[in-house]
Parts: sequence; structure tokens; C-alpha cells
Amino acid sequence: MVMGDMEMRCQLLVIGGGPGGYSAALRAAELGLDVALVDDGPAPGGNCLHSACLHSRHLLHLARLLDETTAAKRLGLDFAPPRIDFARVGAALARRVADEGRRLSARAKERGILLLRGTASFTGPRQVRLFGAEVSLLRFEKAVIAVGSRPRPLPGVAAGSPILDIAALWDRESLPTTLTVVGGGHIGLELATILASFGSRVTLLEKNPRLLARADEDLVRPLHDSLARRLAAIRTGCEVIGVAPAGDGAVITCRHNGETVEFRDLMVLPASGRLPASDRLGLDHTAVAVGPGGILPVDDRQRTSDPDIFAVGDVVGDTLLAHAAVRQGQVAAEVAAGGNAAFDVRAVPRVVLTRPQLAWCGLSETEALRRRIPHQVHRLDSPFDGDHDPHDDSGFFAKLLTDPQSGRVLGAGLVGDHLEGYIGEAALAVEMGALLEDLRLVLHPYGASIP
Amino acid sequence: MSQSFRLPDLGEGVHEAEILAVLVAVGDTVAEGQPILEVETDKAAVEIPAPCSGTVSEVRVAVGDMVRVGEILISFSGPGETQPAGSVKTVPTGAAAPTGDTPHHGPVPASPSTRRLARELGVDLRLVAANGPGGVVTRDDVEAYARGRQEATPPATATKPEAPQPTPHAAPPGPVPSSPPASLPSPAPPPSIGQPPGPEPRQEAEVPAPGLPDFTRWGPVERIPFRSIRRATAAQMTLSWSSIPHVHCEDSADITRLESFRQKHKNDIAAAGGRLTMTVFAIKAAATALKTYPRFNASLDLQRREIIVKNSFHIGIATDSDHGLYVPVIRDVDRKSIRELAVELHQLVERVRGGKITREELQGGTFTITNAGALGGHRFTAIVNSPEVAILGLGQGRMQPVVVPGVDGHHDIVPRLMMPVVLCFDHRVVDGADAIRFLRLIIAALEDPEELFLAMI
Repeated sequence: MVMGDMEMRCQLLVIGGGPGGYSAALRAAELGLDVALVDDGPAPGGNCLHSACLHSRHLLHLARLLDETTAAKRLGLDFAPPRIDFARVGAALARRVADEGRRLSARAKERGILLLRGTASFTGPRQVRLFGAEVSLLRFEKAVIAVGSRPRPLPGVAAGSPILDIAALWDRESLPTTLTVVGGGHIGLELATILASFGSRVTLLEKNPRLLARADEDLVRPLHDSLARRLAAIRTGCEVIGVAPAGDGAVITCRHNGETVEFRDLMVLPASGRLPASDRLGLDHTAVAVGPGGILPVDDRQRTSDPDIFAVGDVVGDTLLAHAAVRQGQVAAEVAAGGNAAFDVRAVPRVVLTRPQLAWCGLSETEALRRRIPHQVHRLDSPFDGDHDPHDDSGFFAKLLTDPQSGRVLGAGLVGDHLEGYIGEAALAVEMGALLEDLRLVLHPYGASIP
Repeated sequence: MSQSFRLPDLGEGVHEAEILAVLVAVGDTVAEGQPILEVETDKAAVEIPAPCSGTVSEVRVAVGDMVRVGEILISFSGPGETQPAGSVKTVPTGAAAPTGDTPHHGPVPASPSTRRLARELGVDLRLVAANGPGGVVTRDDVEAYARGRQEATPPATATKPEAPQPTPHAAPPGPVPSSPPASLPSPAPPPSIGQPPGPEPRQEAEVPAPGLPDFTRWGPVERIPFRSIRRATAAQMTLSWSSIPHVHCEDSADITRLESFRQKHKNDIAAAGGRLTMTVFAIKAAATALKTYPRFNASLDLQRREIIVKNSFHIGIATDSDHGLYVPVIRDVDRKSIRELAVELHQLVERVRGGKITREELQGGTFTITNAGALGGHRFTAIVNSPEVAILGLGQGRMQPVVVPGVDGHHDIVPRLMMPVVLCFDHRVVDGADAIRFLRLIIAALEDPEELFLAMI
């Protein structure tokens, strides 16, 4: 076989091996399609596995252990002061990533999916050229674009600026003693939480007037208060316009209230959103319409404006959540196989794993007000059953939005701990059309929300 | 370009249509204006042209489907392969605005698995009657709806043009009858005169019927689609029969003299392009009776508790055809001569049989006449064509022995041509005594042609 000369055909081509891509490939293969999956990583999994979700999860777990062992002193448990062995932490994380990647590869091979390592670019409406792969030209009947997103670069970064790459954090000898996280969204807040627990002095910059601008303000407020105690500073309404090296650190230039201000810090960690990675796909050669910012608009069947080319996951914008991408991938596969599927999720759960945690699903109050959807807001200070648990000082607080006419739950927002369990329950209520009363009449184990 | 084609507003009062034919398939390239669908509204069939040029990317309807105005029928994608790169592409509906959720109507409460089932069965959850607790649409509800729909529109495998329907009160048609045969009145056009919108008749006919046994256990069966005019007739009859307390008033008219008059003049009329049938005389007689007893030219408005008496006289004529039963309407019969009526009626009947009748010609009737005579029908009853108040039925005139007073106080038995007449009416609006007076006036007019023509002057 001569490299670069081979041409192949498949029924379904999946470009990108992240959660959206691999779920599309696995489902399509299950439905009997002949599937090829192109991904540029060493194994399927995408950013989620190789740098984003799994890393955050792992580190959030470590951060939680650190916090809890520290807090345990108060409860009469003494631990030796933690000593972080960077090499071992990094190795454990790498092992976990590799295990998961192997598991995904094995599943793909079991289902007869052709895994191709490389990058794909359309050269016609039904063909792609592959780079860095043993196959150079691939003709397909249908395709799923699941190329994901990449971090939005900070503007005006001068060469030599000390920018921290979170994926390479464990290649370092130690953590920076002090750093600035740029971006007060989901990712920025989780990273700030992790780094603060690991002992760094963290400054958080956010260009919007408040953190987590998409979430309801009353949900974010307790988190803001808690972070304000744990971080060196939180500066909202502060838009970074430039980073330059200065001494052994950086000068960060911001626009704040119409004025230009400068901060100094040792390192800068960018977390100011993500951009769809649709730009290097050669979409000009297809009928796929590209929306603002490179987002690929799709209908509820995940079809782009070319009905045989689907797009799923971060590249369609919207949620930027792995679990939503997984469902979208499955929908695309089912539609591609001739099925009648749609992305019909009324309550996509989101959890921000900070302390306290934040979770919401379905209709948010912010969205209800913006779209003028009639709603009622109910606030509960204990998980759903409404009776305050006197032993619960976790700061749990739930907000439920109901339809004023039917009383059905339309959305939920939660603040507290262990929210991944509770948000699933709230999502089920929304999806099933439960009444607020149904939710309140469900019993919860005593003290469930006590940390 | 990507475009979803929705059922356009087809005109006054038309909310839904039936798909008669799908002229394109997925992958077909169509030119703007090329016919893509044939649909049928209450009565008239319409060809729908492609709104744009492009490739059919999805066909969401099948023959026999009932579609509502605004429903997506067919999606087109632009000529993708041939489209020059970089040209404008229409952005499909974003996931942020899923189809189906409008801002002011909350989502239909149904579990995710029920929603999936509905999607797979092609059921719009908003149309399903919810029987779950507190208005939740359950799996059973979706299945029942899909079953009901399937019974109403069986698979298109048995689709063929419907055979002429023998009506319950007439002998099976032999050669094509020369005058409108008797039959039940067919679906009325939507009420047009100050009538508040009533319940959609078709929905009532689609209430899921109790289950049927498997008839194939007792022998082979054929399944014929119950749709189109047949279904519309069923809906209209169900509405009339279930909402109107019917009374029938039977009598006979001695048309011996009228028949000789008809024989004498029919060639003249034929030369003028008309057909002089008993129906023509009955129209004229009815016009006189309706003017004298206007309550028979009315509609009952239950919502406003009023009787709407109409001051114009538009008579519907039940007409059998290969496509089913139609009731074309002759307007202002009181102002037209026998000759004019004979010509107009003949033309209308021809238009019905040729499938050329328009919706407008089927609307606005105030009274209906059905004539079973040409098919050999004698005595029968009819169903009032709601929202009208009465219908007049004519049977076949037959020579019969009739006892007449003799000159010397004795009675003679003489052969006379006797035609059965029946007046069926809505007892909510008029009473039996009114009906007898109304019918006697018609009989008198038919028995005495001179009287009839005098009344016309």
C-alpha cells in the first residue's frame, strides 16, 4: 500500500471522534451502516476525553479530596499536610485517559467501524481528502460533522507571554503560585476552583457584568460569594484586550468601564469560551451552510442545509455539553439510517462542579423572561420535599419554574452539593411533564443534601 | 436553498385537505411551478405547484393523509451538487428554535418515550386527546390516535378510484341516469350566512370507532379506502343525523298533466341546451313554497338562539357521480324561468359528472331537492342537509289506479301518473302542520302546471 494513494468508500463518514462523533459512529454501525470515523487523536474521545471533561472531572475530584481533608480537621480527623507529586498525578490521569481511549477504540472495532487517524477536508459534496491517514480519499453517502470546538484565543497576546496550557499542567514541576483565569463561564469557574484548591492564588476576570451570564443571577450569587472568599479577586465587566510578558510574569490589559486597566500576574490561563472548529473542513465544496462564528446550523434531526450531511456537538453551538453531543450523534445516526429520530430533549442538565455546585435544566428564569414564557417561580430551601431539614446547612436551594396553568415543571435551577443526582431528578420531572407537587411528594433520604 | 413547503391557505373556511396524489419523490429535481401534489379540500381537487426549483429532500405526506393548513408537506433542498461554492445558502431552523414549540403554548406534557413513539408514528402530539392524569398524553393515547387515523385512511395499497356509490334508497345505477338521481344529500358547504363556526364535522366522523372483529376469519375481504368524498359525506351525514330531530312527511302528487306538459316542451328545452326533468318543476314549486313558508328557508343558530331566515332562494340538487355524491347549488331560483333552470341544472350536472365543479358552486344552499325517480326509486326518506331546515325527495312517477269523484256522485277508478313526494324537516325549527301545508302547496303546484306557472309570474 502506498501512503496517500488509497481511495475508499463508506456509507457514513464521521468526522471527529469526540462524544458526538463516536456516539454517531457506534449507533450507525449498530444500525448496520458501513461507518468510517476520522479523528486526529491517538484514540477516539476528542477534547472531552483527552483534555477537557475527563481532566476537569479528575482534577475536581482531587481538589475535593484536598478541601475535604483540610476541613476534616474541624471534625476531629487529622491528616498530614497534602504533598502533590506532579509526576504521579499526571501519570494517573494519563492512564485514565488511555484506558478510556482504548475502551472506545475496542468498542468501535467490535462494531466494525473503520478508524482512520488524520484530518478530513471536503473536496466535493460527497468526498473528503484525508491528511496524515493511510487513506487519502474517502467517498461517502452521508456524513456527520463532529469536529467540536477549540478554545477561543485571547486577543492581543504578545509572543513569549506566560500562557498556561491546562492540558500540559502536569508536565510542570509545580503549579504557579499565582495566576489569572480569563473567563468566568463554566470552564473558567471549574478551573479556578481546582487551582484554588491546589493552593494557587487565583484572580478571575470576566467580561460580562457577572459570572455565568447564561445562568439565573440568583443561582450564581451564592457561588460568587463563595468564590470571593476563596480567590484572590473576581473582576467582572473586565474584558482582556492584551497580554504581554513582563519580568517573570505577564501584564494583562483590560477594558473596564470604558477605561484601560492593567494587571500583573505570574501566568494567564485562558478560559473565555470556545469556537466551533468548522473552518478547516472545506465546507465551500458542500451545500452545508455555515452560520455566524462558524457554527453549523442544523434542524432537530441534526441535518445541515445538505440533508445528507449532519452536524453534532460543539460545532452546532448551543449547549457545548458532551452529554448533549452524545444524543445528537445518536439522532444523526438514526436519521442517516432512515429512522425517524429527533433531538427532542426538553431538559438538558448542566452542572458546574464548583463549591457550591450549580445545576440547571429546562427553562431558566432568564430565558422565560426573555422569551416572555408564562411561568411561576417556586423557591425551596431543601431538596424538593419542601420541609426544611434542620441538620442541613449545605446552603441547598432549589428554584423550580412551573407552567401557571397546568402546574407542570418546566425547568429547575439548583445550588448546593451532590447536584448531579438532583438535577437528573429535576430533568426527569421536566421530561415527564411532572407537576411540582409530584416532585415534592417524592421522598428523599434523610439528610441527603448534607455534605 | 432549503425550503419547507407548507399547505397554503386554500381559501375561505378550508382548514385541511386530503392528499390525493404525491407527484414527486425524494431526490427528484423539480422546477418552480411544476405540479408536486394533488390535494382535495371539502370538494374541489387542487393541484399544487412547486414553490421553487430544487431537489425534493423530504416528503412528509402520503396519499390519503389529511393535512392542515400550515403543516409541512415537502422539503426542498437547493441543487447542492451543482451549486457554485460560496453562494448563499439558507440556514435551516436552528436547534435553538425547535419546530413544534411555539412560545405561547407550553410543550405538550408527554414522557420522552411517548414523544419518541409519536415521532415514529408521525403523530403530532398537539392533535392527540390526552387521557393521562391531568392532561398528560400517554403512550395509549398516541397509539389510539394513530389507529383511528389508520382506520380513517387505510394504506394506499387498495387505492383506486371509488366506484359510483349506490345510495341506500335507490336501485343500483344502470346506465348513467339522465337526471339527478335520488340520494342522500351530500356534505353541505360551510355555513355561509351569519353562521358561527360550528364544530368541525370531519372530526366527529373520526372519533375512533369500536374495534372490529377480524373478518378474514370468515372469508376473504377487500379493504377499500374510506376517504375523500365518501368520508366527507359520512361526516356530514353524522352531523345532520345526530343533531337534527328529523320528521318525514310523505304524500303523492298527480303529475299526469305536468308530464304531458313536459313531453310537449322537452324538445324545445333540449334545443336550448337544457333538460326538462321533474326536478326542474320541483325547483320552481319549492321556490313558491319557500316564499310562502320562509321558515323552511332558514338555519338554526343555537349559539345565539335565533332562527336565521334567508331571503334568497338557492336550491341544492343532490347529484350522483362517479366521484361520489355532490350537491351543486342553483342560485336565486325564484328569479329564473323554467327554461333557464332547465339549462342551468343540466350544465351543473354535467360539470359535476365531469369533475369540473368548483367549491363555490357547492356552497350557500338554502334548501335541497333529491330525485330518485330517474333511477327507478319510489319511496324513500332523506337526511336534511345541515344547516338547512328541510329536504324534498321525489320518487318515480308510476301509473296507478286512482279513485276520483264521478259526475253522478259515484266514484270512478282512473289511471293517473302518481309521483311520491317526501318532505324531511328539522322539527326544532318547523312543526308537522307547517310541513303539511308546505308539502300540499308543492303538490298543488305540481298537479296544476298552470297554477305553477302563474305563481312564477
